[in-house]
Amino acid sequence: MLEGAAVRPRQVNKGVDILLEGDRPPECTVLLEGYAGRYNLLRNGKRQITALHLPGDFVDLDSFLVKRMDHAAMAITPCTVGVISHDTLREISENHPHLARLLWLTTLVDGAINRRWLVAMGRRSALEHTAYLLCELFVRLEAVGLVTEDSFKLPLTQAELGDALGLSNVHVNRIIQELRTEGLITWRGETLTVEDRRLLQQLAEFDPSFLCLDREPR
Amino acid sequence: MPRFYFDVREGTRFIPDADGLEFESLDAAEHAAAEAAAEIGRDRLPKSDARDITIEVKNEHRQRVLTVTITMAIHRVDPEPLPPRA
Repeated sequence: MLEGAAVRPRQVNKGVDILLEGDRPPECTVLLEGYAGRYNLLRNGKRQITALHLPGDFVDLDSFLVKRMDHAAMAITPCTVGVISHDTLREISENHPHLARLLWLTTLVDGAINRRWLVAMGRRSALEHTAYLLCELFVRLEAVGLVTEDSFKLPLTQAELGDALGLSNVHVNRIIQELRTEGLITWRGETLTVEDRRLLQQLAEFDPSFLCLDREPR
Repeated sequence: MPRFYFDVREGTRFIPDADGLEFESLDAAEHAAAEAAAEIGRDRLPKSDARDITIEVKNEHRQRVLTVTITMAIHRVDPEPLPPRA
């Protein structure tokens, strides 16, 4: 809904940073097309992707109040992004309480997703964790109309998927082979097809209610 | 960059790598295999019957160039020691 308020759309090439850790942007960036990720880099060059963003998501709503970015954001695919200035967000939050609640909900859902990632990373097997991430992407993409016949675009390399899962790319490779052999998914080029949604969700212990995608008064 | 294939053997279970991954050198592929073997070992060894995990790295002609093995060995003291006398 707030996407309409985004101005100055621009293209960002694949692999290019939208924002850097330490930036103090005067505006928040909304992803209009493509996939983006938030990440942190370690001194040894290792990267952890901490969130994946899909069209309609803010990549840095936190900058409105936190000001200084504690993470970077990059375009995983070619992206179109727009911006909403902090002044506009202040005006919205002061004059339109229902939109302020919507912005609040957005940050809560981001937090809920982060918690799921933390649980999966800390306590689940690599296979279950990967299955979880695929279930999450499936449901979020479905909500924005980007799933067709159980297939969606997964333009991440195995190394990028590994950076999101906290696994080495050879390990991710093995997990993908296993999910494929078990008949749960196929992944050809950039298209991932969920072949058995029920089994994949069961393996992932996936319950989509934390994403708050159902319509109810808030 | 050359392509390497990483077939994984977990006890009697064999998971072949159909796709392979590109690495700049054999050294880089070896490092990646070692890292993955340690991760897979931590993930799989405590809960499966397999006692070792082997990653067989093959070159673009599917010839084996190196293997990395992670083993878990558990030794119980037999017979179990008696409680110390008071």
